[in-house]
Amino acid sequence: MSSLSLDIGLRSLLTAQSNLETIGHNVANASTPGYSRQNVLVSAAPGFNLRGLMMGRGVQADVVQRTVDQLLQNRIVRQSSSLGRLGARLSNLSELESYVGSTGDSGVPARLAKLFADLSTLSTAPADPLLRSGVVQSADDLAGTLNQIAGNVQQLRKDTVGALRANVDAANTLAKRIGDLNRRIPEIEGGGLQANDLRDQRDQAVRELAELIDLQVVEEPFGAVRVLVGGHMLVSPTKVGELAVQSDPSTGETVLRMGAKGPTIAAKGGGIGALIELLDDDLPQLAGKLDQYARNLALEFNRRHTTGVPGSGPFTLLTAQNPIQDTNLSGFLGDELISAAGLPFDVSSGALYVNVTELATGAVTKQKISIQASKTSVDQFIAALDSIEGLNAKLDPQGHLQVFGDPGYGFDFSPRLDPDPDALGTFGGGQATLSTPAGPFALAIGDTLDLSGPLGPFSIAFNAADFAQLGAATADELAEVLNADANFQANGLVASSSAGRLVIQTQGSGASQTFTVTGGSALPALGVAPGTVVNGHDSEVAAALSGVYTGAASGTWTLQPLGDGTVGTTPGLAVQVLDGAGQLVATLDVGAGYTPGDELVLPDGVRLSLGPGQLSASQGDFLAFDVVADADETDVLAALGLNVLFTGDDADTLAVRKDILADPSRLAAGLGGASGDAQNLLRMLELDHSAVAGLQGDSLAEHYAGLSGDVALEISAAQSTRDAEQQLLASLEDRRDQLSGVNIDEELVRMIEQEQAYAAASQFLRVVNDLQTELLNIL
Amino acid sequence: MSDVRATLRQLEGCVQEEIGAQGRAAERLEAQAEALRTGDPAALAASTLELERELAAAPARAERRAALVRALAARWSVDPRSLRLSSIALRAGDEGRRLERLREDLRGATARAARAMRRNALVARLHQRAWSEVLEGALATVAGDEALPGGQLVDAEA
Repeated sequence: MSSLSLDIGLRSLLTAQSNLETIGHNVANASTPGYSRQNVLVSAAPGFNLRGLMMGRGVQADVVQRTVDQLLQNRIVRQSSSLGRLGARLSNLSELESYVGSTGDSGVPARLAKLFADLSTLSTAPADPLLRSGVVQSADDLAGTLNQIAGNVQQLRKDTVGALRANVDAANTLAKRIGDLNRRIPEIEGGGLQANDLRDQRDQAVRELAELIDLQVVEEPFGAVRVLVGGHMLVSPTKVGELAVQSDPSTGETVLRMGAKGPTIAAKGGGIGALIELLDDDLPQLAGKLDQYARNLALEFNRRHTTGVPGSGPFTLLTAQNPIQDTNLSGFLGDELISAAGLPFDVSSGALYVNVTELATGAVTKQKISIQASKTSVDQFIAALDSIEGLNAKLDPQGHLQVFGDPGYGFDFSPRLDPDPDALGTFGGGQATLSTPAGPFALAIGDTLDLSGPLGPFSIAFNAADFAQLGAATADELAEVLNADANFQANGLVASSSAGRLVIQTQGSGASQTFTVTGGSALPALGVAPGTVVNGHDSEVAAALSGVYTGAASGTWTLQPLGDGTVGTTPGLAVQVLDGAGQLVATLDVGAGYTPGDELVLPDGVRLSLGPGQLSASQGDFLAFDVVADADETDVLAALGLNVLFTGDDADTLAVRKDILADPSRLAAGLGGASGDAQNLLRMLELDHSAVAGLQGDSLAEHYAGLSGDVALEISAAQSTRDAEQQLLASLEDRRDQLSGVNIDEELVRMIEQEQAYAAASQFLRVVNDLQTELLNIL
Repeated sequence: MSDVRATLRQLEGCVQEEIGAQGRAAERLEAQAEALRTGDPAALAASTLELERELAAAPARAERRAALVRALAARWSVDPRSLRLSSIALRAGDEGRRLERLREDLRGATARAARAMRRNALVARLHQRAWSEVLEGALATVAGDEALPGGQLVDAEA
């Protein structure tokens, strides 16, 4: 019996020893991440049969078990993945915000504000070289800041690729560790033991892997786990796969694969998911927005600058910054459509106005070139430029368009009003002038025009062969027929067309100049009364335009006297102004109350002055002049890079044109070329608050604020989500710690409770023993 | 004689009550033995408390039994300390046969309880000694590893 007691005692001691070792192990690992508290499970030792009696053998320690809630553990793994993604995303977005969200002097908003401030200052003294340098420097600083941001974004992309590779390497290392533990755990547990610590290590490795990439864990019956990433096996009970990062050559997107040639994996969670999202979504989006911003900034400034004129006056030579490209692969440059010639900006249909200035006299001729985006080729555009008197155009061997004036001629693309619009002298000019209403004219076969000049009467017949369509003859065709007639020439007459009207004039000026329209069957079609005597004048009415047209649409305005009389003398003499559609724009009293030379204010910023002289409604006096809202409706100048302020078409390449940087006098501050002209600066200043169509109707400043605000908003959203997710993870970890974590105080209390319970039992049993002894004594 | 018979019947009642109490004590001790085996301090404390409740009535029963023995000793003019249940049954002759059977039953019940008690006492003592030693060691380790919350007092003059 004594040996049985000794056996029971030994078993008890061994059990106590297991308990103590477990508690000691718990205390030692109290700070080990991922450690799960362990407990000893004990049971009654199997008894043995002693002469028919089953004798108990005390207690034995069966198994040391981890205290773990696998469901909770799986939630922590998932949460870790989500939080890993958010943490990495927040860090990356914060870095992006530091690039685009700078509010200091070196940020885009400050640089843009400085440029507008300098433009404003320069507009008060546009010839000041220091102020010009300031504007050019500010523009260069703005371009440089955008270049720097674009460079930082590109660098961040490279860094992110490096970080992604490092994260994938770390994930592969963790996968190998899990695979190693997968091999060891079944070995130990197959022998009937519990591999608690190895399981804890594996749980910790799985959690660390989850922080890198979203995964699923499936436990196998013999203690190994399968780890699935994006539906593909990364770790199986016997094998470990390897993640690889590649760049898709077709899309440029970052691809995560299971092995170098394995299936692609859509990683959405963890640090790796966040980095891929940054590479494939955030960075390209931000780079795209920056490029769009820089592109529109360049386009809007260039739209104004290309149609401006520097203080030095009209150009004699301009070379395009952007070359034409052989986009149709014909082997030749020039046969491409101008809208598809590989230029960095779109060319649309519309009109381009070209001013050619005779430098000696200052006489300006405004010409309009129509471009149809779907039809006009580069060669046709060049031909149209080249056909303008005094102007030449060609492509250089590299495809750059060169525009240059004939000797003594300059040119520009300004929308300015023609300061001397009546070069032809159709509005009170000195020559005897007859103007018809605007054509076309419905002539018939055999129609004639009968005139009488200094050499006597003569008649001109119109033949159908001279007209494209006799019933709709144009003023140009009629003028050509008249000028070809020998009698017409001999009588000193000349015909021309203006604004669709036929103009017949004497070559000389003065009151002695005269001719008569005697008759002819063509008169009804021409709108001229038979017997009209046309006389010249000794004094010419000098018409002058000034101001900047501010109307929304380009067109041709026409001045027509409403009676015959002398400017500034004839009571009630009035002139009406009609727009291109024949609608009345204004009626001006230029009679007795008007002082010749005074400016008359017309709508939309146009001002007119008339000198003294005679106007005649009966002789068809008129004056047609162009009002130009946009001298380049097609953006062809900005696309070609002719007289641009900014070169480049994205945030990386944006720059101030080199020759303007070197010589700020080339800044096109005006519209007329005079040194004090700041009208183009004012047009550029309007950009400060103008809506830009390419930026969703925002102004430049508003759009950039929105761009940087979007990043800040993303950060704010990511922060909120991360905080919420972090709280959830903390709550899960608290629950895990309560269940699985080691509390040293609790472990000591457990020990004290054990000791006290045994002490109490021991003490009480001594009392019981006394009672039993007393009882046995009386038996 | 009728007084002796009546006292004997009362004594038989006491012994029967004691047999029942010993049986219950043995059951409690077996529950305690189970708690000792599992090492669950709460279960051990609970089983010990149950045992304590069961044995709380033991002194009263012992007093009643002693009073009856003293009464019989007076009738037989003997020293009460010389009387055992076996000698009382012998003196009572035929009247004592029933008491003798009850005495045998009580002996068996008490022996069963005593065996359980001794086994439990041994295990409890061993556990208690082991836990005491480890607890002392653990407390010393914890106290030595960590700085006191308020730092350690040092001699300001030093």
